[in-house]
Parts: sequence; structure tokens; C-alpha cells
Amino acid sequence: MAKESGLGFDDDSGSLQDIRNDVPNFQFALPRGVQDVTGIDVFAFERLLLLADMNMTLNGVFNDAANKSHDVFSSVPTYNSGRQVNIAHSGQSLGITPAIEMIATDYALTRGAGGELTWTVPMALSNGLVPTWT
Amino acid sequence: MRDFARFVQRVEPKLPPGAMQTYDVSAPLETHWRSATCAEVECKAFMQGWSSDVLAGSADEARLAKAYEAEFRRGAIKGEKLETGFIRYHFPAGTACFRQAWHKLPLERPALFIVRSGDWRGTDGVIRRFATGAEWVDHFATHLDGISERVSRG
Repeated sequence: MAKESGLGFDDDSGSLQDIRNDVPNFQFALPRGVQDVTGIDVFAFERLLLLADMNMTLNGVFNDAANKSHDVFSSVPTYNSGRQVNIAHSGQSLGITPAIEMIATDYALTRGAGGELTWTVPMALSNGLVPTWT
Repeated sequence: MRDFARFVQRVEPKLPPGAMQTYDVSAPLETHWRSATCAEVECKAFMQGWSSDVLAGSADEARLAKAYEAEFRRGAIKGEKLETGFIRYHFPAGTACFRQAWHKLPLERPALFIVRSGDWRGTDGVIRRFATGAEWVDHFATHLDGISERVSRG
């Protein structure tokens, strides 16, 4: 990732930690087009779909140094609250206003064919706010 | 990696993959990362030292002796016999850990900024590839604006 990009996540004490050096890629999945999901009857159902369908996947390299990815995500099985997520690039940031929270549902480690130890953390939006770049 | 991804615990989206769009920032391990030393990544074992129990006379012990030959010769690694027949080796801080070959650091090359259709369940392919992160952010922001406008309208 370029130097100007950043990734921050809450650890289990609620402090934002910078883990960008551990993350080779991340994906943010959203509803494709607003028109595509417009229901023919009620708006409320559509809104539910829109919010529920934002999710994110982070893929990273195992790092157990202090305040890095393992410190942040090793609490996935025990920490039940949403985590604050912040992504920054070129002076713009996603997740600060409004402060979005996401629930991490797994911290899956795997050893790749090349011998590297990598992890995957899927997250789903949990506090009902639509993230915005500001 | 792809097969493994299926076993990851996720919240199943309510929309089908065809109605989803994914914003992807990618710095593949093969092209954007280099091998690093324990000191560079400040790995816990290297910084604080650690101890490992191995069965006396086992293949594991032989492997340790071979991998850390120089340290053993210097007397840096101390072995402690346990009642269970194991030997507890104490590795001091500053010793390269067992994972030394796996440590990676980014090369600081610009990442690949992509928008593709679908999500983790499946994709029809790349919709657009951006030359700079700023363009990707702009596209992402416009898309989010559309969604948030729709949500606020109710």
C-alpha cells in the first residue's frame, strides 16, 4: 500500500491501532446500484437490505508485534462489540464521520504454499451508519 | 487461499452477489512485499525471547540443534531438563524466531485500486481499474453518497 494510505482498527480496549503494514489487501462490498435493489412495495425492507449488505474483508500477514494485527484481532472470539474502522487515503478518510462500527466474525489464519502465515478477517457493518469519505 | 476462504465465518449478505459491487485495494504478496527480518517486524519472540519444550533425543531436538547451531555453540540457548522427559530450551531476546522465513514487509509500491462486480461469493470481473488511489476514493465516495441519500430518504 502506498505510504499515504492507512488502515486503523479498534483493539479490544477501544483504541484505534494502525495495522496497514500487515494488510496486503482489503475489499469493501456494497450494494451495486441503488436502483437494482429497490423493492416494489416497501422502503423499509430495502433500507434494511442496504445496511445489512455492507461488509468488508481484510487479508493480512501474521504479525504479533505490539499493537499490530494479531494484537487487534486475537480478541475476535471474545470481544462482542463493534469495532471502529478507519481507512485513510490522500487526506481523505472513511469511517470517521460518521464513526462506523463493524463486527469481525472470524480471524482465520492459514499457512500459504509459499510458507507465509496469512489471515483473513471478514467484517459486517454493525451500527447502522452508512460510511462516508470525508 | 481461495478454497480456504470458503471456510471463513461470515455474515451472509441478503443481496445476491450480482447486486453487489466491491471496492478492492490490493498489494499482492508476490509483487508488493519483501521478506523481512525479525528485527524489522519487531516480532514478539525476537523482542522478548521465548522457551520451547522438546522431547529429549527426538527429531525435533535435532532440528533445533541444527537450525540454531551457532547459538548453541555460543551457549546462548540454555536447556533445562524437565521431569516429563522434555527439555525446555530458553531462547534469549535477539534470537531469530521459528517464523523468520515468513516475516514480510511492504515494498511501498502503489497498490492496485480496483472496482469489481460481486463480492466474496463470486464475481463477474473487474468493472474498473484506477491509476491512482484518489480516483478510486472519488468513485467509492460517489457510490456511498448514492446509498446514503437513498437511506436518508427512507
